[in-house]
Amino acid sequence: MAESSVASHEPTWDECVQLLDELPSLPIEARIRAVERLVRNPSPGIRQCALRVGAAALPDERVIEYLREEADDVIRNLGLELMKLRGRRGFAMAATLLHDANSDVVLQAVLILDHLRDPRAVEPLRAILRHPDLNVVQAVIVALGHLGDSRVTPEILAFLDGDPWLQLAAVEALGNLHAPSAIVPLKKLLPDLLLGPVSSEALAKIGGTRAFRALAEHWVAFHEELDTKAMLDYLAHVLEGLVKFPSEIPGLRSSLEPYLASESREIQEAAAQALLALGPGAEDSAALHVLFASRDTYQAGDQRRMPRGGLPSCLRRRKDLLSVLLHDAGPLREWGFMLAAQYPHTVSLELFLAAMTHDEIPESMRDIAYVLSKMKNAKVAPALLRLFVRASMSARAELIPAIRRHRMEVQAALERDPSAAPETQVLLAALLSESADTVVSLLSSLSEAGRIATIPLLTDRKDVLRQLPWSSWLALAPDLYSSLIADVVVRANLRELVPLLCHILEISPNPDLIRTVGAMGDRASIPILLRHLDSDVPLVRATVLDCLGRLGGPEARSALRKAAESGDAETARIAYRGLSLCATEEDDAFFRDSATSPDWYVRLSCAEVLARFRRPENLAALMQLTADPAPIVAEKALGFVENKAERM
Amino acid sequence: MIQPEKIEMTKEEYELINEFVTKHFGITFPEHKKMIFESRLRPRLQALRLQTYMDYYLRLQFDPKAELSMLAVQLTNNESYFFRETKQFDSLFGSIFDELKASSLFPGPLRFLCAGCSSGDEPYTLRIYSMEHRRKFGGELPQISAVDLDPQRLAMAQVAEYGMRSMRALNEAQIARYFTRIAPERFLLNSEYRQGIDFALANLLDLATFRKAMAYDVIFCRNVLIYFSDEAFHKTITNFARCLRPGGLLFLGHSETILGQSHHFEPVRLDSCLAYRRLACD
Ligand SMILES: C[S@@+](CC[C@H](N)C(=O)[O-])C[C@H]1O[C@@H](n2cnc3c(N)ncnc32)[C@H](O)[C@@H]1O
Repeated sequence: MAESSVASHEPTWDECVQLLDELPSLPIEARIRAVERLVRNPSPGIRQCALRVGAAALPDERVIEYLREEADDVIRNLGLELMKLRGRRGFAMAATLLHDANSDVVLQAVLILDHLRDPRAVEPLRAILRHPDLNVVQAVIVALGHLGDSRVTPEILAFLDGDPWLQLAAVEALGNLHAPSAIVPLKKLLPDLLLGPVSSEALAKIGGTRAFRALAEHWVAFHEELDTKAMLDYLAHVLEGLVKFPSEIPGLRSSLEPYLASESREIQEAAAQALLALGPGAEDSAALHVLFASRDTYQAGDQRRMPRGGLPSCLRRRKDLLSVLLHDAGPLREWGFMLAAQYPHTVSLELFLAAMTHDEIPESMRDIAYVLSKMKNAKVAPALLRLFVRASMSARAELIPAIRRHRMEVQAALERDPSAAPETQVLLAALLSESADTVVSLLSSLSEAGRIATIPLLTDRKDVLRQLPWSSWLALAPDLYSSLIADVVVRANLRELVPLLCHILEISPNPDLIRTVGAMGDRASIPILLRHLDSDVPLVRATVLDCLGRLGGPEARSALRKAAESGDAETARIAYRGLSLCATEEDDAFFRDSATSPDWYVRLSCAEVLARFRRPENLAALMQLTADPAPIVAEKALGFVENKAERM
Repeated sequence: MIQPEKIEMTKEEYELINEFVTKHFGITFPEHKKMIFESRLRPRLQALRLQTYMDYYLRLQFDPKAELSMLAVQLTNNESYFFRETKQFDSLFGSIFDELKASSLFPGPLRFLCAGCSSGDEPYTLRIYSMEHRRKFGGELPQISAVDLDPQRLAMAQVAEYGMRSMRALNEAQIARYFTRIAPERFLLNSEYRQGIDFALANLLDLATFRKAMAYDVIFCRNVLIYFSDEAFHKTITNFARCLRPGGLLFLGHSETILGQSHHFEPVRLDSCLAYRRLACD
């Protein structure tokens, strides 16, 4: 490459920022030069932007030139990164380069194919497994592993006896190929100082009972000399993947147990996982506590710390622990509920009901509701009712399916114990299918706060929602009820209330209401919305624009165009987006002209519209956008171009 | 019924909101953290009864006052604890102290800034160190300004009550010395250590929110800039250069560096840590 074409000093931060700003509007040649400069900046953000632009803008020959560049590593690496970013388009070029006379170039091509993970690469790569350059062979082995086509296993196995550099690659690849036929040879390598650790990892990836035995026996014999953390992780990982508990391996438990008290938390955790996944044992209680202490926790409403992230995998098969966990007075009980949801037919009814009605209200309502929906017994309903009465409104939403499932029994229980708070009574009445009239009058008798908390849980009682005295409530406290009705109308899809919403909108434009009107798709509301485009409240204006886009039609489009052209930058981008949703062919020229906007969000809208209306000039503008510095725009445009290319 | 937890954030919404967050707070959530980003914001959608993240974006962009501080509460990583990375405190009150004091521009106490102070663990640690080295100050202990974006953390800082996590680097003797146990795992910082610190809401991107009439002698900004975008990082460092006196020191977290990224500072090696000294001229 000509020296002069690449300014080789590092551009400053400010220069880079300026260049990036200018990029979308630069002609292709200038873009290429800008990319070559930008990639020299150490900031990953800037490099990433530059690469995206380069991937789309540079012709193939230029990229190949980069790959051949011997003197300048930055440029050679640029070639590699560019090819990777080209995605599927880079495949054919890389496959051809596999036969290049220069083995450095071949190596780069292998790395690219490795990155692309396209199954078509298996055969071309296999064909060069005996390449004279060992670096190439090594990269090919690794790449074939990543491609995961187990038919190449025998060829890879052959490298286990070769050069150590290739042996390492082969072990790694065999793990990635999940090849059971590799278990025996890998097991033999476990004692090897160099290959042992990678072989353990490979066995862990292959998984299954035989791989587990190989790892476990190795661990028992040598655990003091091995990388404890890694080996424990492998054991836990393989154990968690087994379909049943493995048969006893002498010395395994006793060799794991001391690590529960390791100085390292991570080692403790891995040992606990392995022991628990191994099946019932004397170390269970200690392991459970270690496991909990290692979990990320969050603070529940009542300040208790609860484990985050669901049931740990090592407990999934431990139904024997149901009783221990559900008896726990602390946070382990939550795991009990989660485990019970895996075994709803096994868990003891008495135990489960006692645990869920414990003084401290449980967090895992969804699991509880699931278990209860599978249980048939007279005792379920009273316990469920007790829990429901004490739970927060949002937790109640989770219990609704269970309440429905046991409707009659809950009803009976409620009649026996009418001490619940008024909101709860109303909610239950609604859930238990009382007549709409009854529920409406009960709701009306509630306090304002009570209504606002209760009504959102009634979205499947449309009959009730329709009959509520919305108009008078709205007249009394417009702010309070506007959001509520807006929410309920969308969630329960209550079209018949839209005219009422429009009526309120005329008097008081509230963003929640505007949004709802837009979501309900009623074009009759457009004239009212248009009137609020001049509102003093920015959120009202923006919400109107957003809704106009969803509603569409000539009036909406013309208002959106106007706002796109004249509004401030923030408003304009919303108008563009709105217009892109409802654009017709008449709008595509407008979007073509806007494709060099400085705002990436505007350009994104342009990409969508240009892709929708196929004309050569749109496609040309879209091609420009494939070289956009904003990754999301470039990806979208590229996606459109590629799909289109396939269709045409 | 639409379940709020089922609402998903599209890529476009993620880009929009992330752009907004970066512009306002400096912090950025790279794409692999989109899930975390999404789940941290979900409670706000629920609270505001919004059905899409786009609606939330509109709310942020066009009515920011109402939502900005809630956004900060959701998104900031507030992890902090007492006596975190103490090498820097040791050096500040050790080898470099006399030089720093001698070169001070103004009479009166030294002025420290804790930028991104979270729940107060760091400024209080500075206060504890100052008290332990009080002889060096000739009476006047440093004035500590502690600022953060997150109003909830600042409120916690003012209460000065801590749980075990904040104590993780302290031994029993230190806990007993500086705190009063008020519940099995709750500790109240003793009152003498709660003096001399001025907590305030501020945004590091906006110099006016934390600049004082007299320039600072030392700025601690640890474990804050790692979450920042490149641009916000540069802006913040420039802001620091503007409110730190020449010769003043900037301390960053151990995984953060401004080497080669600002001409306002030069690195200084102190015992076993690194600080950055404000150069005299721009
Ligand atoms: C991880 S904590 C670090 C606390 C303390 N410096 C330490 O090292 O222990 C980061 C803090 O920086 C705050 N922060 C993030 N962005 C900020 C900004 N733009 N302005 C002020 N504070 C910010 C966060 O709210 C959070 O409390």
